[in-house]
Amino acid sequence: MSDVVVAIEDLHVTFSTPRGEVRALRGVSLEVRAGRMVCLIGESGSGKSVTGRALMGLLPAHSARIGPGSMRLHQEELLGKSESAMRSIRGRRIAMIFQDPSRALNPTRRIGDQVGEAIKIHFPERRPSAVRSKVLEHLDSVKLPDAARVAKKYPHELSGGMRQRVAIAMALSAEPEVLVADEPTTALDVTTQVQILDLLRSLQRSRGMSVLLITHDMGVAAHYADDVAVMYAGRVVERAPAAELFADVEMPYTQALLESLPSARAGRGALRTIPGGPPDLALGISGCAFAPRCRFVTSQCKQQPATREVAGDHVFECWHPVGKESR
Amino acid sequence: MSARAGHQELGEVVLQVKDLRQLYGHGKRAFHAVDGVSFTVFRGETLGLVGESGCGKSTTARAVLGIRPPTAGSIALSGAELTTLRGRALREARSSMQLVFQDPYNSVNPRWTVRQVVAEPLRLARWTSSKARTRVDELLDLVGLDPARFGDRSARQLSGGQAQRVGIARALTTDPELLVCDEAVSALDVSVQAQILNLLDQLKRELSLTTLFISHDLGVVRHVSDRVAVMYKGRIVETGESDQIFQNPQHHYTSLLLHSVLEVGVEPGSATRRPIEVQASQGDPAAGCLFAPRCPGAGDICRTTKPELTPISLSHAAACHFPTGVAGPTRRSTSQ
Repeated sequence: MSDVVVAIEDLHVTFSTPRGEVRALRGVSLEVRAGRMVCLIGESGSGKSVTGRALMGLLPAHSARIGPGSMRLHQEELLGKSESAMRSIRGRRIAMIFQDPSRALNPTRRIGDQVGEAIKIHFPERRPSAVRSKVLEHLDSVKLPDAARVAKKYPHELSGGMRQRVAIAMALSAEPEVLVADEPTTALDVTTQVQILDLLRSLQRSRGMSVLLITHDMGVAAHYADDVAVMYAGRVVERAPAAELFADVEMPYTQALLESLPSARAGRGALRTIPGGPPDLALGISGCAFAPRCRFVTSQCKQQPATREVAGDHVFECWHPVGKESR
Repeated sequence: MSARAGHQELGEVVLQVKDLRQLYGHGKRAFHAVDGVSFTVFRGETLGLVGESGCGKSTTARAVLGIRPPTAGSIALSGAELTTLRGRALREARSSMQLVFQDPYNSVNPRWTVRQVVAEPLRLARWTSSKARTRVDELLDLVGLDPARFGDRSARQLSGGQAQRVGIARALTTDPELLVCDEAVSALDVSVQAQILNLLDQLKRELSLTTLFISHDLGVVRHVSDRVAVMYKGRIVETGESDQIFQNPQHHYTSLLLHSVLEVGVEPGSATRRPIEVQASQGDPAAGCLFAPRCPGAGDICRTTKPELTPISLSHAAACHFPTGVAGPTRRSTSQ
């Protein structure tokens, strides 16, 4: 398909640690299409952040081995690009925001100066007066009240939600095609979380930008994603348009995750639990990685399940899918 | 408290907090992190204390546990006033309240074995080691950890869920009158969180535990709580039975919180589509309701007069001049 902006195919990432080789990504395949918000969802250690960082070229060179596999931005292969070549892509064409917006902000400098600097890096030809008006325009675009006043403040004078807005303004200053947002609202209060996610969605739509939203929160995915990809033990085990996925889950893992969430709307009652824990990625995994915890497991699950696709771009890896479509 | 008057299943009061205040800072910059909080926890129930960061819920817990004595107010455990206790009497009172922490790793010495961690409160209470050992193994069994398999492991060899089970076992060693859980499942992945929530449920039934459960997560709070108190900027703005709070919130802030919860299969309400709050300068004592600047239902009186917690029905009270009376969002028809 021509509207695929980011295509990750069978991507492997291995970390050298004192415990041995940890296979953090074991063949991740993922597509981000133009103007879509894709939620990459998974529990800790599933590899969702590693995927985001690999795409940004932000994995530590001394301990991470990236490949085999492929990561393409449009038709351009990113894997194996030099650091200097990545520098013209990172920030400029693919930008990133983090859980803690303070990581993107210098605590000793005023907000306006920092946003201005981000603009100057990407557009060195701009005159100072043009940069200044762009700063206010960018701060306005993330719905900060009274941009001129905010520009004069230091990061610590802003609330967490306002700092995340500033981080978004900086990330978008180069007008990237893709924004990678790694748990951008996890540290925020629920009322602030909705406001930031609403903002991200409206910016994504108005600019026709693609967003890869990395989250552990199924509720966030259900409300904001166009497409959802579920990760487990270093692989994407199920992906589909959000409406399709939540209407008809195929992977027993995805189903179990949904059933283990306590609800503010339903009463009490025992929660479904998933026995055991995720596998140790330093040890070899053969077959389906979820098999030891799966209630539908059979001897067949010792073989890696083939990727199956059912109607509506719904792709999954399972011998015993639980959805209506696959039966 | 008046809201509970006449209620039949009141039972025995374990914890009674009255007009608790905690002042931080000095002079012009001083502010009340907790500003006149009163609540009661009855034997065998779980009271959920919910609110966003900075609302004072953890400060309240720390005052109750005697970690930081309050500026003013009264805290009574089974009728005994704690705020005036000193020395040995205070230590004894404290051992009848136990805390389950958010991060089970940082709250224990990583070099200790699981048995040593669980036995620590008993060691402080001067139990003999053989008696303590029997009790520790009983408790490990109770929280679902096989003592033979886990007893001699070091705490750092445990997964997050196992470590939190150890944290719960340790909190239960002294048979506490009151268990305080401060964001006890917030750091856990959902599949593990579900295991711990089910365990807490089971322990509550088996041991008739009395729990003060502090969390920012409304789904979790609804799941564990019999009654709920919602805090906003140092005050309790609404309190009631769990179903009353979640199905029929009366305070506009409770309503906003519930509308902001993102769950699969539920549409978030329109209440979330609000302009962002302009930051009020801290330490500026607002005369009226602290939520008024964000409130869709605020009238003139809300900016001049602080609303007091007022009964709406039996066991349900809200501090609001114009309670909502609106039910929560309804389920979407496409929910699975």
